[in-house]
Amino acid sequence: MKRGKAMAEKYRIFFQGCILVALFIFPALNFSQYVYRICVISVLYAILAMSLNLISGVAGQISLGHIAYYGIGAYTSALLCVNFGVSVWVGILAAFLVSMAFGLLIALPTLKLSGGYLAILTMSFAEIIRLILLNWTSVTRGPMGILNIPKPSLFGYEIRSSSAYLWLVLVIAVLVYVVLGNLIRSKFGRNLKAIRDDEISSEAMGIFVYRHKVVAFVISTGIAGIAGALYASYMEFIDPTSFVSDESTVILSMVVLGGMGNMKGSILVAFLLTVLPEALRSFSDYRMLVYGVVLVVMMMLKITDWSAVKRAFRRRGEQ
Amino acid sequence: MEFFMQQLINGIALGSLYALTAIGYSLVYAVLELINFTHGTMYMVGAYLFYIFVSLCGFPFFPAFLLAIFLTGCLGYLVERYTLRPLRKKNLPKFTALICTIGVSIVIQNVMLLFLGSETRQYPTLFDGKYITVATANISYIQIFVILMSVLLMVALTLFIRNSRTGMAMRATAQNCQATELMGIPVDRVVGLTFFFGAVLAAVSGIFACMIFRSVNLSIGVTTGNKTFAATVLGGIGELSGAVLGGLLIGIVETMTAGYISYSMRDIAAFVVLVFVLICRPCGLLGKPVRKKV
Amino acid sequence: MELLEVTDLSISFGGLKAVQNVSFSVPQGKIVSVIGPNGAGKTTIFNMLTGFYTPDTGSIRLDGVEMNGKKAYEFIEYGIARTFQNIRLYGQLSVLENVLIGYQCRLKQSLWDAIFHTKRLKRTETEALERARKALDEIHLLPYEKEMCSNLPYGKQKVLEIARALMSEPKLLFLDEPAAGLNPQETQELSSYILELAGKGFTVVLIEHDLRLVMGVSDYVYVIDHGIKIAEGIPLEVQRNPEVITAYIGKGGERQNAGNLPVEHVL
Repeated sequence: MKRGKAMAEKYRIFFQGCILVALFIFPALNFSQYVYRICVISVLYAILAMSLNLISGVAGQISLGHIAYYGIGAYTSALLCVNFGVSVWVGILAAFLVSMAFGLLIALPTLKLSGGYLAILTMSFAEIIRLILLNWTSVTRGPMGILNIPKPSLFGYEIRSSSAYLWLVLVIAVLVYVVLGNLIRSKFGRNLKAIRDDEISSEAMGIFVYRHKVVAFVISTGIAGIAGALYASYMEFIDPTSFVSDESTVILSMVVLGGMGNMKGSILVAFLLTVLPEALRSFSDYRMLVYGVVLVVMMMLKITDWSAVKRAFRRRGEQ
Repeated sequence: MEFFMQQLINGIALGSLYALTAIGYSLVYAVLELINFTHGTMYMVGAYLFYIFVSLCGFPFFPAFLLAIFLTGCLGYLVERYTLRPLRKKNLPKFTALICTIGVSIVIQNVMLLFLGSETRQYPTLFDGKYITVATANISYIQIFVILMSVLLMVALTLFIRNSRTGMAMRATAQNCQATELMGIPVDRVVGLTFFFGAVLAAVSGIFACMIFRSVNLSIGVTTGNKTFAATVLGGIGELSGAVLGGLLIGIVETMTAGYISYSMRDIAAFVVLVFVLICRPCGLLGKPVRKKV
Repeated sequence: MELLEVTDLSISFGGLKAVQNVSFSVPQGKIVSVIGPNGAGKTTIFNMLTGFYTPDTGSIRLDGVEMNGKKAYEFIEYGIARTFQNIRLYGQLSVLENVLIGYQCRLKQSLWDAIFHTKRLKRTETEALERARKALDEIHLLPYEKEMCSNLPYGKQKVLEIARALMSEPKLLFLDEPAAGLNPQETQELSSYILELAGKGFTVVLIEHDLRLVMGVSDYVYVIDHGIKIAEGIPLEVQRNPEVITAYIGKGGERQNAGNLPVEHVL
């Protein structure tokens, strides 16, 4: 029994290693730039979904404005790079910090209250951010957007092509995956799951519920900011239309469909939901509708966690 | 001063509509402790149904109005009956019901989008933009009409909740759902009715608002939903008088911001007020602090 | 040495005085029960003693430390752990995770440890896992460690909730109606489990309806009615106290020589 477990563990590590190697070989394989472009976008969505998964999936605090922090990150980095000529790396760091600061601003007053408050307030906040980006023309240039955002360079080599950029975002996605995975598997992550299930009981078990929620929210927004900065630098052009509230729903659907709290699920669904509209053009008309249906159906069928479904099937098989 | 009075009147007209919608939020929250994301959508659906009946089907105003609010009420009831009620039975974590209402509102919005398209449409209105001038402020007939109707509805609703059997059942359910069930009151039906009334109020307010602005588009549901929520929290969620006060205040703050600061800032004002309220007095102006039930 | 000293505890909700000037003490290593009819204010007292309500007046001293004014989540660190009247386990988490969360207040891990997966994290995690598995083994739930908690039978959930509270190494364990909803056999098992705990040196405070359980295990009993302490003593004394019987069956009961009526018959 014990040996079997150790073997399974070895296979798991081997399997993960293979996936990792395959991921990093992929950009070198000379596919068309269009394919790589879609890949970069899906990886960015995967980062967003992973970050939202921490606060909404693991801790059960539904945020409906995640795109705002992506936007804040994108604009922070873009404005710094274009107006002050700082390096993109500094821009990414600044995006991380500024998004976290805005996250804290929203988290402190709202997370003391019940779940629904966060959902609706994050949604309004995202709308406000979009309006500010649109109307504060002296800084953000409003609907005209920001042009000529530089690309990052490493050891004197500018990361220009989509395939090279895919490497960059992959490295960051893996880092995010590892960091968030470590967090979820630690005491902190366990406590967040406990909060999702029962706040009062968690309080009795000595969990400072409010602080846990705030910390999780801030980490989550910070990572979204990094993704935003990467997006700005990849597209070289951003305008407020990329940060509309529908996008927040898309990210939430990814987290819900992937199984709340399940990072691999979030990543897989992020990839599928980015590729599918590209592959099936007719699908894109019904995109939002499908996401809405996904949210309702997943909740109606009580699927918050795919592993529970797997276990239920196994039990039925045994009977 | 003249300008101030004018903005104040505009604010009261707008605020009384917010108040109507806010009551719906408050009712549902009081009964289920759930923030109902479909509420803003009902506002939009009501407005569109009226538009469809009057402008596309050519119905007369009054029957179209009644039909629109009745159908929206039914939609509210159906949403509760077929998505939220099964979830309540299963005793799941609270976020499931929340995500469910978010999902339903997205579905409704996008179905509407498929059929009606996203363009802004001209809205039928009453009284052809006639107005009277009191002192120096212009008050349009439609504004007076809307304010009167809102007051009438609010009074009727308060009397209904205070005196009727159904109203009593609603209040009982809000106090203690299980005990009410044990007393032989069909809680499910009460909750369903609450959703029906909430949706009706949202529809009335949506129709009136569009008559004042003379246009309608699909995004009104979301923005009004958010502002109305701000109004509900400002007054104290679960308190009907709070919803009215909050609605009026948000309406006035919005028109004042539009008038004195900048028109594009008016959507931000409600949110800023809301954040301040949450920091200073999370239970709202008229709300009582609640103890967590252990 | 008294482990817990409660003096003059009062709280009111709006105009209603739910608990008035209740004082009692719990000696180290004993089992003390708080009983009283429905709505007497027992659970309110419990919620004050575990930090969920802040008393209007009075003091709660645990080992000489004043607890009144501390937040609910701080209580467990000082050594007060509790269970709930209607089980509050984490239904969607596994059995193992549930007990692990019981240990979280003793688990010294920072966010940095978690992010960088440090040696300290690995050490503390293995230690926590070992303890959790040992605790599960003691209540014979180890084979079900991966099972979702809500799939366990009711009686097992009750025991698991106590095990979760014990993981925090409490000085004082509060049990809120542990026998509610159990059948007689399960109640029997529960009472021997509670006695076993006292044998291991834990101090236990019980709130209970099932007087058979209370009389069987308690060293000392306090009786609360209408938020006021009406009697106290060892189980035998309390059973014969006419005031207690009046509180339980009302004035009418006095007609039939209530003074000698064994409490078992009353319920």
